[in-house]
Amino acid sequence: MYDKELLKGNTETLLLSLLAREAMYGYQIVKEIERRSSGYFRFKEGTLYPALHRLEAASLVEGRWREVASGLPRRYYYITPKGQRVLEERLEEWQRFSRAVNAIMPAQAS
Amino acid sequence: MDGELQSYLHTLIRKLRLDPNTNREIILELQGHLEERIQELEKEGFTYGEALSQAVRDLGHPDLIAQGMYSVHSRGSWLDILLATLPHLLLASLFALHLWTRYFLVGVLLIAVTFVTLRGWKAGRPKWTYTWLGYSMAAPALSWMMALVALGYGAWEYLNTGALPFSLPIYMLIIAYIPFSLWIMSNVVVKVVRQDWLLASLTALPFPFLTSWILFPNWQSGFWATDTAQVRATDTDRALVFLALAVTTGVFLKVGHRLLKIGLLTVSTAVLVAFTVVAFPLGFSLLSMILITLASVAFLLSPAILQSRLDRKARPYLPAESQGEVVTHWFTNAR
Repeated sequence: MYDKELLKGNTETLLLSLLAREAMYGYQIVKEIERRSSGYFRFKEGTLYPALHRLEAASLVEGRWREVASGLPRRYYYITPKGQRVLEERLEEWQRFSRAVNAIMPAQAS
Repeated sequence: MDGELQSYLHTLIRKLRLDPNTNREIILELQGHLEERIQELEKEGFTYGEALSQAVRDLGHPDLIAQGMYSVHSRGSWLDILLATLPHLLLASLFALHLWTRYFLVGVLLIAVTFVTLRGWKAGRPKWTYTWLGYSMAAPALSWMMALVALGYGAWEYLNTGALPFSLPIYMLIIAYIPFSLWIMSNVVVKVVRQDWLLASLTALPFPFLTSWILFPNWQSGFWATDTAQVRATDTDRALVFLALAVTTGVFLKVGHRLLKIGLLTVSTAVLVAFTVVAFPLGFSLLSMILITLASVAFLLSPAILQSRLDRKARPYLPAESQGEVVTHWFTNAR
């Protein structure tokens, strides 16, 4: 519960951070988040897609279909210049926030 | 495609309540996700059936996905809002400038509105199409009602005098026209309701006010008479009503929550019908006003009943195992 509260409001920033590295499709994002967090985060997959579509509706990412040799075409999400700017602003905000939290909370539980 | 997968995707399409193009893209994207997940689980040793059930469970209940997608895709862009409010604004201008008595102009506008509606319909019914559709449907709906009245009048005259008030071919033509126009209207209504009954309500939004406009002049015996001054005296109030319909439509397209949309249409219709009844000197009692308002709201929300009947015929998705959990966030902590 605690982690969910921590992450609230930052899910879009996480998605933008991933997509800033490279364009990805939905399932790839699920796997990438799991891999990068060493399995700490697991997706409720059904809510990932509305989140991606919300970012697209806000012009922060752009979805493009790509044909695949075997199987159905995939919808890759690319970060837009607007998304890049928003990401930079949010990362700055996040760093200010985490510096302030670190200044108050001890590094290790005693 | 496997039955469970097909059932899941069909249920999702029905619950999305979005335009066919958006539906298609969402389904294709999620189908790709499911197929990749199934392949991965099969590699881990699951049978196809087990992998499918697990993949569907991981993706989540169709309600959850549909709710999220609806809140994103049911909102219109500013261009959608501009285009959707245009027919209401045109009507408001016709009344504000007292131009509705220029029948040639009204006829040209009606043809233009029908043309734009057909273009929108063929282009996959973008969000702005429905208000245009409402005005396009007004002509067949009105002519259908008039044909019904003419049919009843003819039958009455024949019973009383033994002769028809108009020639037999015309009478036969009216008899043929009634089911034909009804067939066209019901086809359009069913298609819209199948997507989303709320869009059918948005389409029907101007109907109570157009009906009052048609009835009021006849009530006052001024519509076909040369002196329309008394009718024209109410033009400013009518312009305000259609302006309010434009605002209602704009807000409807901007909010993403279904309950807010339903509340908006209900309140707006109730207030504007009550205003219409009060504004025109027809001498209705308070009880009549309340009944007219309730009937208008019931008419506007009636597509919901039709949709529930259509939905009942479709096979619902029944999850293989417990999927009753409501997920409010797309992360869970694994530790």
